[in-house]
Amino acid sequence: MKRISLRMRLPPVNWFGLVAGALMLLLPFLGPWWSATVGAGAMDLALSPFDYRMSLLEQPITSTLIGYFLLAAKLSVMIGGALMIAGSLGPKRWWGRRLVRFGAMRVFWMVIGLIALLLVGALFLNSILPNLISGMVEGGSMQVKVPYVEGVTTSTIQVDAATITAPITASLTEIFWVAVVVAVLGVAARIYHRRFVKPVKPVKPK
Amino acid sequence: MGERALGWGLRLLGIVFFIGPFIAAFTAHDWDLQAAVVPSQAEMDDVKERLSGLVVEEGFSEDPFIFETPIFSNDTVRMAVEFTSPLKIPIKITDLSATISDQGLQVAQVQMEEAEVDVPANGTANFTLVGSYTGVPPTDPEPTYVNITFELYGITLQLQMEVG
Repeated sequence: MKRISLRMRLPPVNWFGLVAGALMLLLPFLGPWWSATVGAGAMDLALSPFDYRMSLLEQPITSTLIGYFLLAAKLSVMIGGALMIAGSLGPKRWWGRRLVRFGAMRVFWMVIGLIALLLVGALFLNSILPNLISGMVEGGSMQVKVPYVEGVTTSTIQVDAATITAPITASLTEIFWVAVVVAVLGVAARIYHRRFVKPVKPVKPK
Repeated sequence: MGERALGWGLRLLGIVFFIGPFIAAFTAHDWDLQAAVVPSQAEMDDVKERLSGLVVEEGFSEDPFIFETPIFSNDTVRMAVEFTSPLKIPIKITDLSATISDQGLQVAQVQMEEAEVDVPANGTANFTLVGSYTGVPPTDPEPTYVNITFELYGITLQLQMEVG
């Protein structure tokens, strides 16, 4: 009797895409990817591409436009995840490649986008903002230090005989690293999917 | 044909996810750009109310302090202080030091005996300043310079004041 290996018996599946797709359905509900605090409740900020929480003196602040953008990002990743699962289960079907490609890079670009946003934001607060508002602190000095992505810094404002010192703490959460894993799986799924696509031979002209 | 349609469909879906939020946010606020982008007036009023609790109309002067007459005994000077907070939020005094002068001459330096003192919003706290002293007790001692450090919402404020 001829033995057939398990791999031969199983239908072709893009396993990377299957796992990435399942995680993409969960990721929007896991929580913030990054959080920052000024003092102890003076200002709190928690960010992810799907949600944000900002509060000043324990009063929450929201924006309708940002809220809708994050909702769209949430839906986009969930639909991307569902389509990637479908594409990964039928990798040899004509629609498989298209569906995997739609979802594969979404989380990757979100991870890159968040890091870029944090770097640009910190650069603005550290280098550009002090020059813009230097004239507002008459007879005093202002030293703004915001952590680049992660860390603890202290900002100081000195006016006449008063000195205000504010500790700023920023950190990436464990969910960010889950997102990195999903992003890597998404990229791997896209690369792995090539093995299911037959290369098209160029047609020789008669 | 099917693959091309699917490609266009997915592309269209991506565009909807980008443009959709703009349309939804602006429609929700009758195409008012400012209302769609910035926080609502109610939220800003709440923040303003919180911020107003940090502002002292007449400035942070020596008025909130009542310094009792310093007591000199056994090379030690002790001075009771009553502090009435002008702020509408609770604070924590982490350090307070004062210079005691007599006839315009500095005679002692005193510091807060307690590690920290919690002061409720617009509330009063009592604490003691202690320091060492050598020589003959002064006849008319009074605090002249006060250096106070306090915390609110985890932010440290340090003020130097001339009193008396």
